[in-house]
Amino acid sequence: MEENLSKAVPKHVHHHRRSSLHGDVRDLWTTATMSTGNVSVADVCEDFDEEGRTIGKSRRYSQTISILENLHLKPEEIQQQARLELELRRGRSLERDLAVEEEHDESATSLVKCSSESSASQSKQMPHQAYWTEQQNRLPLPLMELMENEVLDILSKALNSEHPHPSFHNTSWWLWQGLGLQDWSFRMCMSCQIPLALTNIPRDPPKLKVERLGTGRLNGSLHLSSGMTDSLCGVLLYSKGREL
Amino acid sequence: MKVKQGSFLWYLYLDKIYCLLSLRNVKALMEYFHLLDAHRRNTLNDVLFFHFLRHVTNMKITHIKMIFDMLDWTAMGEIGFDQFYVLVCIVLSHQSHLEDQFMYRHSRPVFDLLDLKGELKIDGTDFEMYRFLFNIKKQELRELFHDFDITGDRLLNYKEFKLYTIFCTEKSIDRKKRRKQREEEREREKGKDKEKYYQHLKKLYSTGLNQRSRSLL
Repeated sequence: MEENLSKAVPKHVHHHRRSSLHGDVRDLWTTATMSTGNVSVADVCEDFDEEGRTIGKSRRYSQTISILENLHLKPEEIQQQARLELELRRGRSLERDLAVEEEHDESATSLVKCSSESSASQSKQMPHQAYWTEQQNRLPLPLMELMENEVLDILSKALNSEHPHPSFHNTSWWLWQGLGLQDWSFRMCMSCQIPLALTNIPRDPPKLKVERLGTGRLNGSLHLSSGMTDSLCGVLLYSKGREL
Repeated sequence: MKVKQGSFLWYLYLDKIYCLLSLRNVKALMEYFHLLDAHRRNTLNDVLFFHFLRHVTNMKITHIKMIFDMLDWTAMGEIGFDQFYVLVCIVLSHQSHLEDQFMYRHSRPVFDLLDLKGELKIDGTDFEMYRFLFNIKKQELRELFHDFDITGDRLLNYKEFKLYTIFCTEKSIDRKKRRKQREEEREREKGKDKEKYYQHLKKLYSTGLNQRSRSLL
C-alpha cells in the first residue's frame, strides 16, 4: 500500500484569517447553548452508535471528512452554521413545549434557504459546532509559544550569519550585483546574457532567480527592501556566493 | 541525525503504521512553516533551510546542503511546503526508528528523491550519499545491490527497490520479535533470581531463629 506523500498537503491558512477565526470561535462559545441532556450518544461519541456498540471506520471517516470540509469554510460560513444550529435547537425545544413551532420552522427554513444545503446537513451531523471548530483550528497555547520562540531564534541566527557587503551603501546596487543595469525597465543577466522578466515596480529592486553553479554551491540572492521593518519576520536576508 | 530535545519537531510524531503526520500535526507544521517563511513566498530559501536544520537537528553542514539539493528538485533555490513536509517525515521516521516502515509505505516518493538524475533508476553512488537519511549501513547497502540488483546493471529500478523495502520491513519485524523474546526471557530470569534470593533469605532467617530458640532453651 502506497501513500501519496507529496500530495498530502492541505490548503494554506493565512495569519489574518487565523486571527479573525479566533475571534469568531470566541463568539461561537458565547452564543452556543449546551443542551447535552437531549443529545444522543451517537451524536456525541463518534466511535459508538445509539446502543453503545463500536462503529466501523467508515462512519468515523465520514465524520472526519465533514470536519475536514468545515476546515475549508470561511469564518462567515462557520458562524452561519453555528447560528443555524442554534436556531434549529431552539426549534426542537419549542416543539416539545408545543409552542411556536411554525414560526421557528419558518425562521429555520428561511435561514436554510440563505445557507447552502450542504451546510445544513453538516450542522445536523456536527453537534457542539463551537467545540469542533476550536479543536480543529486552534493550536494548543504552549506549543504555539514554543514554535514562535524557536522561529525567532532561527531567524535571528540566519540574520546574524549574513553580513552585508561593506561597500553596499556606497556603490550602486545593480553594479554590485554584477548586472550593470541602469534602467529599471530592462534587465539582463550579464553572466549568461539572458534577458530577464520586466518589472513595473521602479523603486523596488527586482527579485533575482537563483542560479545553480556547476560546483554544486548555491548562489541565493534576495532583494532588500528600501526600509527595514521593525519585526524580525519583516527583515529580508541577503547572501551572495557564500558556502554553507 | 537526531532531533534536539525540546524543539518543535520533538513534539510531533508519525503514525506507526502509515508513517504520516496526523491532521493536527500537519496544521501545526504549516503554522511553523509560515512563521519561518520570512519573505512571505510560501517557500524557504537555502539560508533559512540551513539554519532551521542546524537549530532543530544535529546534522552536519554537508548533509544539510545535500538534503537541500535533493529536495530542491526544480532548482529554484527554495523549497515549498510539500518538500518541507517530506523532510520532516523523514527526520521523524529516523527519530522513531521507523525508517524501514517509512521506505516501505512511501517507496515511490523515496525512490523519486533518490533518483537524482531522473533516469528512473537509483545509482549506487547516489544511494551511498544519502544512506544516512534512512540509517542504512555501508555493508547493508552493498548487500542490497548484491541481492536485489536482478538486472545486473548496478542500478536499482523501482521494482527492485520496492522488493528491497518489503524485505527490510520483514527483517525489522523479525528483529523486533526477537528483541521482545529476549526481553521476556531476561525478565523471567530476573524473576527466578529474585525468587531464589528470597528463598535464601527465608532459610537464613529460619535457621537464625532456630539457633536462638535453642540457645534460650
